Amino acid sequence: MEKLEQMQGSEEEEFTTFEDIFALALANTKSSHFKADSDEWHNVLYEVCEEYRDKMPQLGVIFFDERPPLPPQSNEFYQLITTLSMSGLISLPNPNYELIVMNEEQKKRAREMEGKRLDEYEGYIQEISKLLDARLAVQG
Amino acid sequence: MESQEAFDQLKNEVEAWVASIMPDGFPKTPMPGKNETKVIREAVTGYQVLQPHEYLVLDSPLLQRLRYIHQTALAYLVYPTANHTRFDHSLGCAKIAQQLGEKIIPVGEKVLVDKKTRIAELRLAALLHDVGHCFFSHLSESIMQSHFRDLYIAAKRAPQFKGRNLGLAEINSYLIVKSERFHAFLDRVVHYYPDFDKLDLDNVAQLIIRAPVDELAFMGDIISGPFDADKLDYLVRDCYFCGIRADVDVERVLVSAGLLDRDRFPSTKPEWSKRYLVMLSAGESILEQITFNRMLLYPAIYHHHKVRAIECMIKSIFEIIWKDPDKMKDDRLKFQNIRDFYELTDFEFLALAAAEPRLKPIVDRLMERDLFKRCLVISLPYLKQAGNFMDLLKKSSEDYPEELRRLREIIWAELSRDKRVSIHDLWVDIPKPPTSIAKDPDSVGTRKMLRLRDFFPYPEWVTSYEVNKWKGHVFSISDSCTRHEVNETAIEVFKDHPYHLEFDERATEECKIPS
Repeated sequence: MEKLEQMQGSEEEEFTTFEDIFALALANTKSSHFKADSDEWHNVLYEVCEEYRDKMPQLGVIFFDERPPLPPQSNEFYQLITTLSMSGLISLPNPNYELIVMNEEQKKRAREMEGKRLDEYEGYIQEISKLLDARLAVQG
Repeated sequence: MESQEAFDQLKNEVEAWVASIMPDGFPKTPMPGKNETKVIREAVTGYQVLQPHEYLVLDSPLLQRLRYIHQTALAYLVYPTANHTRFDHSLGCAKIAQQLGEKIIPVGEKVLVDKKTRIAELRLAALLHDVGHCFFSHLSESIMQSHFRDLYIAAKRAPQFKGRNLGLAEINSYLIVKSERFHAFLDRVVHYYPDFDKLDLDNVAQLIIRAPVDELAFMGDIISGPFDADKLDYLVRDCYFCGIRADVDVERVLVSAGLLDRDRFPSTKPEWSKRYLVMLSAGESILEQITFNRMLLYPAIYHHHKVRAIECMIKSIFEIIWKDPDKMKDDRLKFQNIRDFYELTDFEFLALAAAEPRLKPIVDRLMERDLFKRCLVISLPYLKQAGNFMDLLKKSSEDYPEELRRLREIIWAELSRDKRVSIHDLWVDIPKPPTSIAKDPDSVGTRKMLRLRDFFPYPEWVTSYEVNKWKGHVFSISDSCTRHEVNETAIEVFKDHPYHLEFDERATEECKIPS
């Protein structure tokens, strides 16, 4: 497994996407329960992209379909939820599917997984975490 | 890359290609009389009457090439009757767009000019909406989008496309219709006929990218929306030609489709002057049928393991080409820019590739249906230890092929030397989850605008389906010894850093590798 060892500390670890940013932002929130698919999520995602796209290029691949007065809709929102859910980093509790849950254990896993590879964006990610807490958190 | 620069580059490439394929002054023959309509029949939507300007458009080289572009690429190697083409689909779309238009376009409003003209615009937009597709349809689109990723992403940000998440084929369809040569042709053949002298060609182009002026937003929905003519045709057509027993009740859609008036929007903001195509609440179950049938078609066709294996074989061809384009004898196979993709249709590509010694072995295997086979199934239920699954998931084959290439190289390097296949014969395929299914803001109108999700939280249902049904694969050649070796090596590689994935026996058993 010599090749695998070479991957450690190599550019493999540098490869980050918008999923990493939101995984870490969710992991850094105070809350554990968030609204699931809702207009507010789409609005928050839209605002985050508008604000941070130039600062974090990973967000540059998120696009929206606008159809006012409905909120902007993004394929990448569902990609995010599906990817985090399939990775076990969030739960979508049955049967109502009204919640996205990232519990303490999942938050710890997300932080371990992301390690230091997003350190350069730490300040921005903290700001996104605060936004998620303020706009999407619900009582568990 | 700046968005305007990217837009201009794409525009110039499309302009040059259209000028090369579309003869100046086409058609050379005298224009048919206004009553010389034609009747055409195709298998799914039946008969329709073509106006003279419509069959002149269909007879143009730009549309005729769609006869040789299969709707579902090489899926006919899996479903033998999946031989339907973009040409058939465009005709089907035109008929359904017309039917939807007849149902919902109001009469007597100044902005709508007259109903007949608007329906003619819808039909023309439907006929032209896929003119930007290249050989193998979405497969080549996906290859282009990842190889020319910076250009594509930047072009999507151009002001012309703001608020629309467009695929490259959609963008290019728009650019083709707007191109100087084709626009001049359309202008000549459409406006020759007094009945269509008010037909707005700019609106036709805008409909393709679902961006007509606000008052006509509902027309954009008919061409590309929650239950547009495109979906209503391809869902039925793909099922029919693949022989899959699923269907969409298009007649019911037509009965329940309506126009949500601006007065019923839950807002009084004057800038919200748009009206949308909606399903009356009685037709709610049809929206569910459309949504779930789309979802079911992914494992059945679009993400079927054989279909994905074939796609990997085509991607192998491109890897070989792009590794050293100058070694291609035929310049048309160098694919140095997007225009090059438009020069070939499905069989032209395969024929040219078969004539290249470095590509011939793969083409021969495709033609003999000696396809890549599964060596490992990557699926959440088959994981004993999910580790850093996200690090793998986020590298979808569509978006980040270069990242998956690194992973392939690692598996390849770990194979024992005597069983080491070419890197082009070893693939890790991570399909992108079909997120667009969940996205559509389906509209159900009664007294106010609601969406399907207000009745049933289907996006989460789709996500749940994906979590359990999504499958990635490790593919290689059909030789059993090689498959065993790739299977064992891939399992070891995934177990180690950075993924820490541990598979149970089903991940191997499902591959059915002969002992």
